[in-house]
Amino acid sequence: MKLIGQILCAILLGALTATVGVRAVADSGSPPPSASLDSARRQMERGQDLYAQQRYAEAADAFAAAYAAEPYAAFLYNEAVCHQKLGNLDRALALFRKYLAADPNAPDAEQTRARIARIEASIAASAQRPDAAEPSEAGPPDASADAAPAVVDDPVDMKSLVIIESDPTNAPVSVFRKTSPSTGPFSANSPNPGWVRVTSGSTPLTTTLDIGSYHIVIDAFADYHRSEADMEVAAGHIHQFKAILRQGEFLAFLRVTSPQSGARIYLDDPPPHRRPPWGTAPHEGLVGVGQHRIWVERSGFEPVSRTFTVTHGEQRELLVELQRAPSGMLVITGNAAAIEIEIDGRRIGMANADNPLQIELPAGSHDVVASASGRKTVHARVDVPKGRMLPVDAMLMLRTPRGAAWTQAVLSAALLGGGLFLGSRSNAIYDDLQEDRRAGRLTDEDDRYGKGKVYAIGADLCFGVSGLLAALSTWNFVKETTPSSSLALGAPRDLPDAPTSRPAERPQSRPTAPSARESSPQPPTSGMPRLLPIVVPASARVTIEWRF
Amino acid sequence: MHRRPALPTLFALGALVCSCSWSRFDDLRDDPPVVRLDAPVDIDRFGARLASAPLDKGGGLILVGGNPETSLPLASYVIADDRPSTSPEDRGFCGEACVSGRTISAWRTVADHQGPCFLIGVGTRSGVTGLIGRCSDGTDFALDVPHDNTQSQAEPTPREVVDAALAGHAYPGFIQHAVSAEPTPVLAAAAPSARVAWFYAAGSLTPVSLPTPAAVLADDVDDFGAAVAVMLLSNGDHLLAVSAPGSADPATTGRVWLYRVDSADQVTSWGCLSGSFGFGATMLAGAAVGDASDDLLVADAQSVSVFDGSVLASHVQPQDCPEATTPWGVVSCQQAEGVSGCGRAPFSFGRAITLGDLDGDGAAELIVGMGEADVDGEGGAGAVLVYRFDGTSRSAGLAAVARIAAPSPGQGLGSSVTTVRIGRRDVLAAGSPGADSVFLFYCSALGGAGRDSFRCP
Repeated sequence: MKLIGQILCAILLGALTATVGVRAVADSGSPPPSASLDSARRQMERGQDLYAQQRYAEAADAFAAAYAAEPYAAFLYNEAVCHQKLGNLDRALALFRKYLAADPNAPDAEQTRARIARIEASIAASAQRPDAAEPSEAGPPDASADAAPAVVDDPVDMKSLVIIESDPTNAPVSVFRKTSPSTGPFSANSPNPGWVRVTSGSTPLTTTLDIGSYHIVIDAFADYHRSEADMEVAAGHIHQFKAILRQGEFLAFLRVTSPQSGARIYLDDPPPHRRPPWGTAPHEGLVGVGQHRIWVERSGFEPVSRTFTVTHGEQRELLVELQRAPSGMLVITGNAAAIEIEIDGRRIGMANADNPLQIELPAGSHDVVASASGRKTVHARVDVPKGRMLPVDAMLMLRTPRGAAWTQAVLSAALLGGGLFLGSRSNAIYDDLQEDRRAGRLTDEDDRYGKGKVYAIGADLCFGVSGLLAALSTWNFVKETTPSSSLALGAPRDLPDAPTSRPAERPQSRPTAPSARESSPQPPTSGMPRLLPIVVPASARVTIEWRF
Repeated sequence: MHRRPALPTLFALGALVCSCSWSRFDDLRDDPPVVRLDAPVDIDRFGARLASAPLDKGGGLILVGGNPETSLPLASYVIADDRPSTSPEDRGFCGEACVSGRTISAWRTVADHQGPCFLIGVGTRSGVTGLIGRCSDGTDFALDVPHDNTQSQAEPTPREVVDAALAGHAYPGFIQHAVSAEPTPVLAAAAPSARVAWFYAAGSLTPVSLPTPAAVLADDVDDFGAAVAVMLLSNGDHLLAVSAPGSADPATTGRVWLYRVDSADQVTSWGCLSGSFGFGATMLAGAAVGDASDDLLVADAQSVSVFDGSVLASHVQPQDCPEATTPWGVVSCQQAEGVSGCGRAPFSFGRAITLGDLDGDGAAELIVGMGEADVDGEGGAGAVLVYRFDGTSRSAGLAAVARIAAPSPGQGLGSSVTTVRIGRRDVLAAGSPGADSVFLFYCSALGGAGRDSFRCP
C-alpha cells in the first residue's frame, strides 16, 4: 500500500500556522531543518501574540529570536515594525534596510522603501522640534501616543512567511494575490482579472507575503501535471505548502537485477542510446504501463535486450544475465621505447610502458610477437579470455652483441678465401710438377718445390686459423649472454565499464580480427624519420627509424 | 676428462692432414725422373764433354769434362741403376803433361788395364807422347802418334801437333779420335791441322797412317780430319770415315772420305761422300738402320744424314765425290712444343749426337742434342731431340723431347749427349755446361722399357 500511496498523485497543501516571516536565504533548495523551523515558528507565534497585546518590545525580542533560529527576512520586517511602534525609528530604519538587503525582490519592496523614506523624514522632522524627546530616554512610548505622526499611516500588520515545496523539486511555481474581495476565483486558462502575480520561481520557494488571499500555481513540467491551490495568508504566520505532483499516467514498478552488477540499463532507448542509462543493475523505478523494452549492457558482455509489458500497479522484476563477449582484450606494455606488436602474423602497432597497446581480439589462443630494435624478439602463444582484459608485459632483453662474431666470421671467410687461393696455387704447382714428372723432365732442382710448399703451408695455416675463427664466430653467434625475452601475463581483469557515450562511437559488431582500439605510439609518418634514443647499461645510441 | 685426449688427437690429425699437403712436394722431389750429377767445383762448364762406357757389373761409367781449353780435370760417375750416386766416383785424370782433347772416346778394355778406359787428350805417359788414356782402375796409358807426315812435308806431323799442344799452343781440334763399338775396338784418329789421319788396329797401340786424299792436298783442304768415325761391318772389317766439312773451296767442302780396313789391317780407300757445307762436322758410327753393320751418321748444320753401313761396304764409293751422295735417310731438325730454334744457329743441329735404345725395343734411336734451342721461351736453355728410325719410309721422325721442367737461359742442355745401359734400356745423359750440370733422364716419353723405373709415374 505504500506503493499505492506513492503512485497516487495528490496535491497536499497544508497550511501550517506560523508566525509571519520571510526566509532570507533564497537559494536554499532544501527545506529548513524542522527543529530550527519549529523554534522559529514558536517565536513567530509568540511575537504575534505579544504584538497583539501591544507589548512591542517583547514582540520585537521574539521576532529577533525567530530570526536567530531561522534567518527569514520576514522576521526582520516584523521586528522593525515593533521598533517603529516603540518609536525606535533608528532601529526600525536599520531593520527595514536589512530586510530589503536580505530580500530585495520581496513583493512589498517598493512599499518598504517608501516606508523607509517616511521614517527618515519623520526622524528628520523630530530633530527639528525642540521638544522632541529622545524616545530612548523617555522610555517606551505609548502606542497610542503616535509620537511619530508620519509613521501612523504605515501598515502595522505582521508579515507572514510562505514556504512552497514540491515533490519532485524544481517545479515552476507562481503566486497570485487577490486584489479585491469581489474578484472571482482563479481559473486556469483565463486572464483572471483581479489577480496579480506577486512572485514566481521554482520549488522550493520561500517568500514574504502580507495578509490576503493568494493562489499558488505549479505549472506542468516534465511529465508532471499542472497543480494549483488557493491560500489565505494570515498575519504573522508561517505557511508551508508541499505539493506531491502527479504524473500524466498511472505507473508500474520495475526492478531489474543482474549477476553482472553495475550493468547499464537503458529503458525504451534503443541503440544508439540517446539518453543516459535508466540505471545500473540492480535498479528499480516506476515505469508507465504498457509494453517496454530494456537493453542491459556492460563492457565485456554481450548486450541483452528484453521486451515486456506491465500493467497498472504491477510490480515486475526482471533478472537479466549477461554472457561474456566472444572477444577479449590484450593490454600490452613493455620495457622498450618502441615495441612492435604482431599478432597472428599481422602487424598491429607499437607499444611501450607509457602507451600501452590495447587490442580487442577474438577469445582464444593467438600468436603474439613482440620485437624492438636492439632487443630479442619474443614469440608466445597467448590465450585471450572471453570478455576480459589480459595485461601482457613484454620484457624484451637486449640482444647479445655480435660484433666480435661478425669480425671473426669475416676474418674467417677472408682466411678461407686466402687458403683456397693458396691451396689452388699449391695444387696447380703440384699438378705442373706431376705433369713434368709424367713427361720425364722433372729434376730435384726446381724452385716450384719450395714455392708449392710455401703455398701449401700458407693454405694450411689459413685453413687452420679460418677454422678456429669460424668455430669462435659460431660460438659467439650462438652463445647468449643475456636472458631471453618473455611475455609476462597478468591476471585477467574485467573490462572497465565504458562511460555513457554517444552510440556512434561504439562498435556495432563484434570484432572478427585484431584491431587497435586505443592510443599507441604512432608509427613514424611515411617519409618522416624518427630518432629513437636507446640506452643500454654499457652504451647508448640513437637509431633512426623510417617507415615507408 | 674425456676431452683432453681427444683434443691433442684432433690437433695431431689436423697437423698430419696439413703436413700431407706440403710433404707431397718432398715426395715428388725425392725421386724425380731427371737426376742431376753433382759437378766438381774445378771443372769449368761441366758437361761440355761426355762419354760413357759399359761396366761389366751392369750399368755404365760416365766421364764428364768441361771446356777443354779452360778446364783439364774430368770426373767419372758410376751409373749402376735407377738410384745412382750423384757424386763423382773419380776425378782429375788429365794431370801433369796432359791436355784434354775436344772429344772423349771410350775404350772398354786396354791391355794391362782394367776398363773401361777413355781417351781424354794428349800427353806423355811412361815415356810415350801421344794420345792419353785413363782407365777406371786409375791407371793411365799413352798411344803413340805418327811421327812423320808422308803426305805433305810442309804440314806438321801429328807428333808435332801433340808437342805443340803440350807446349801451350792452341790448335783447335788438334786431335780427333773415335773407336768402334766392340770390346777390342779399332781406333781412328786425325790431326786436322796436319791434314793427317791414322788408325790403331784392334788390340794394337801402333798408329797406321791413312792416305790423305789427293783432292785434299790439291784443294788445300784445311780441316781434313775434323771428325772421324769407325764402323764395324758385318764381316769384321771396318770402315773409317774422315771428314772435311768446311773447306773454303766449294769444290771440296762437305766431304767424307772412307777407308776400309780389313781383318788383316790392310787399308783401302773406299771413296768419298759429299754433302753441303758443314757435311761431316760431326760423325757417329753405330747400328742405326738395324742390320749387322754399323751405319754412318753425318751431321751438317741442318740435318743428320744416315748412311747404311752395309750399302757403303758393298762397293767402293766414287772417288770423285759426286755432288750429293744419297743417304739412307736424312733427319732434320724439328721443333716441338716449347722447343724452338731449328736453323737459327748455324752448325748447331747434330753437333752432339748419339744412338741409344731409350725404350728398350732393341732398335736404337737417334739422339740429337740442341744446346742452343729455346725452351719455353728461355733462350739457349737447350733440349735433346729423340728420333725414331722408320725402315719403311727410310727416314726418322721426332719421337720425344728430353728437357728439364724448369729451364734457364743459356743452360745449353744437350751440348753433349750419351747413353748408359741400365736394365733393358738406355738412359740418356745430357750435358748442360751453362748450368754446370749433367742430367740423367730415367724416363723416356717413348714408353716401353723407357719407363721401367720407380721414377716414372
